[in-house]
Amino acid sequence: MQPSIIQALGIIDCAILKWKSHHSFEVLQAPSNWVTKLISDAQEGSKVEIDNTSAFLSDFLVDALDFWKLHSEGQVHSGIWTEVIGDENLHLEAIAACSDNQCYLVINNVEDTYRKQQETLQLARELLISNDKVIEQHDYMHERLRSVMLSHDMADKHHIPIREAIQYASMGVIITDQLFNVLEANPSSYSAFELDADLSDQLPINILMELLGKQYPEKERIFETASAWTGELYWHAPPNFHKWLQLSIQPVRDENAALKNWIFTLSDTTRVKYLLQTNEDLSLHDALTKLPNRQYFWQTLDQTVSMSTPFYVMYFDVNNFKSINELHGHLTGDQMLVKIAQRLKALIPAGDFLARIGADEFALIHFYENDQKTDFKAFLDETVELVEMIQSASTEPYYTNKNRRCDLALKIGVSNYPTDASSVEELMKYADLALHHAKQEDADPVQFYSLDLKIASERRLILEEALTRAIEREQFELYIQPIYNLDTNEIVKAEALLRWHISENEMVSPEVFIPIAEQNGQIVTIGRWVISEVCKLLAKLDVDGIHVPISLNLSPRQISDRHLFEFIHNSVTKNKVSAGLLELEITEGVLVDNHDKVRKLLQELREMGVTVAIDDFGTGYSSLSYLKYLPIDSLKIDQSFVFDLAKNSDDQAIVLAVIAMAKSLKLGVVAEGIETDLQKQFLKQHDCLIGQGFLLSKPLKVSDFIALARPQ
Amino acid sequence: MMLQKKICILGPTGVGKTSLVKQYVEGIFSEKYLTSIGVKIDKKRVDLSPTPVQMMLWDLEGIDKYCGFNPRYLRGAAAYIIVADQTRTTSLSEAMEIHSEARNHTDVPAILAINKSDLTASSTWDVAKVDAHSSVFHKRFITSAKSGEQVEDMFAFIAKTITD
Repeated sequence: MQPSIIQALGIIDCAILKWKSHHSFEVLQAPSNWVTKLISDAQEGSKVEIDNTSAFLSDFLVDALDFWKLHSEGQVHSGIWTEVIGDENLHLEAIAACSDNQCYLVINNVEDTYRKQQETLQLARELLISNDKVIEQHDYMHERLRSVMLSHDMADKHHIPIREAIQYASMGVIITDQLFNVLEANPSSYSAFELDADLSDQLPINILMELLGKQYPEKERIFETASAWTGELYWHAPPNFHKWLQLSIQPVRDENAALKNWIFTLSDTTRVKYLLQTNEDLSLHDALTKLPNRQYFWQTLDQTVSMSTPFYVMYFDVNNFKSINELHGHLTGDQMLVKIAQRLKALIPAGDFLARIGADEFALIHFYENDQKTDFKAFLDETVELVEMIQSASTEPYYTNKNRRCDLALKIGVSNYPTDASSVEELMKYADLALHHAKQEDADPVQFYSLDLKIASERRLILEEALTRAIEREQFELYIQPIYNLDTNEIVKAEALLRWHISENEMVSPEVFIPIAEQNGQIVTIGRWVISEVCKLLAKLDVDGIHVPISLNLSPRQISDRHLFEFIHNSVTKNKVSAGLLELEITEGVLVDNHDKVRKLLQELREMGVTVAIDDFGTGYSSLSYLKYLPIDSLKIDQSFVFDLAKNSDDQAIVLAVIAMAKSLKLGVVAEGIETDLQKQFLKQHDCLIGQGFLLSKPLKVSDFIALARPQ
Repeated sequence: MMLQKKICILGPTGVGKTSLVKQYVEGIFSEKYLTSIGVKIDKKRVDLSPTPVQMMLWDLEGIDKYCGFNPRYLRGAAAYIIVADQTRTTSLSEAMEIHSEARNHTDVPAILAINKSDLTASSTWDVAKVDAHSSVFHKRFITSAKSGEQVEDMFAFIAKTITD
């Protein structure tokens, strides 16, 4: 179609200029009077100069000239700008284009686009701001209550400071004990459900729990794992009331990490939802990724179930996403989510339904392509192949605008209709349960729901519960493994290791309970117990004339504890032990994930006299530059390299490289996991003279260690 | 002769970037929030001795999930202002992210404007944190586009800084 016809039909309203040189153009199309307001002598066929006509356009010409000089096909867009001419605002967009070796500048009058975009974004941004404010209010209330609750006894029936804190709050606040018995509920929690606090025999908490159960199949898991949660609930009390409520749930733990209370806060977000519903696209799609949102997913899942055809639900969680937000900021986090959505979209079969159902959660309804003949085995095989392909693709790194690498592999839980469940709620609940299992350390990142998984999950919940009480029940015990000079057979150091006696006859391996504690945050409390016990032990050893440094392991989560240094400092001071006798072991991953925090912490520890070793060295991050500038004292060669030392030449090469590197950086080096004489001889021969392992001594009870280490 | 200087105004959505410019250029304020789309350039002459300056104020669309950061707009800027809203704590961390992005492209003077000083700060607003963040800026102003507090001072400071 000729440009003039397009113009005449009003399809686009634009000026077209052909580039001659530098800022000189020939006007090909200048249909409306707005063009002459922008470029005064722009008549069709005339030559014009664009210099100081418009500051924005002049600036865009820098990009346009660069582009035209390339003589490549395509376009460069300026983005929308507003040109103020007298009292009039023109909304324009410039495009630099090339075709058949001719270069053009197109200036579009985008009044309609501008107006539509403004209408949509006006609404979307009002929602964004309003949502930010609601979340801030909830966070503030939770934080405030948490500090009041930790300094007051909730067992006292008169929770006056707490009542004062919530009485006049505009948001609903309910505080319960760990069994959901209400301790406090403010008037707004009643009015949220149109109840009269004095007259009603209904409790807001009961309505909340019922809504949660119906609308969020993950409810049980949230409460069983004592997790924090935020989401929206829809409350409908025909014929008069229906509301959207933003609900936040926070567990409150005591100093021993035992669950004591729950805080529920809720705000009426009906107005926001009403605004959303005036824009269908916003109400059904996630604005960031343009994927269907949780509500749309739920509706579709509901319809799909009613069709009674087998399908799978995949529940995707972006591993590590929180740390990306913390490390690179929320804008980068948002960009990463868009990239993840794009990658997912490119992988899924055409008929499947993909949605973003939470901050870093996506879900997929996967249908069998050959739906004429449903062969369960073939469908399962095809689904396994698909989900593994999606997971594998997700392990490819993403890059930020600054070209920084982000590893955002997916963890995936899968459930099947109708084999696993035949209701929407149960399907999602089981996919969520499978996902929860996939998120555990060392688990396969893809998990299909099964009965075994359910049993394993229940076992884990039992352990989690028991772990919260392990300190108060005095079930932890320190074991000490001596570290020897391989030449002189003298004990030169020792490592403190934690053991958990869950009952009189049963011991839980650290490989089982440490990841659980790490995941639910109890590791901070447990870690503090270890630090404190090691300091007490050092004091005792001093009395016994044993001056052997003891090391203990610090986990990533402990490093994030803002009061860690203060706690170590106080423990050392309180027990009057020499800080030089305390060594902390951290893994390479910790250094990379929390770089600035770790650097500060290590410097403070160095000033105090505490030494630091890198544990499991060689298994983690490949960049070793941190060794040069972080205050580190020694490297511990991971036992996986020592294990095959006698026969594996690769392991030999790695061990020799670590020894050489430690030497040149003037760091100590310790070999872990020495189990045979051959390993010991190899290490000695190559100047690694410090080591630990079952050949030398297994971890010992404290009394046995003292007996062994006591000077004869 | 008159110098012409480009100043970019950046920040998250709804912090009052356009209102600050409007207050400075036209001396008016509107309570109604109207989201900006794209870029709008306003001009204001500042009579500095010996040479007056034409300030070209590039008011950029708020950076959020709907509109990313476009470093191209910073080209040729003599300074930029990052605006945060003290009634919304998240706007400060977003502002800091934007500043960090901008710093990858330019090292011209950067000013932090903590806007809406006429309103009560958010209950989660942390003054100590603001102070800590302010240290990476050339100067910080606590502004109100509504009352005009520190608005003229801020732009006057910028005009002086970029012409010195």
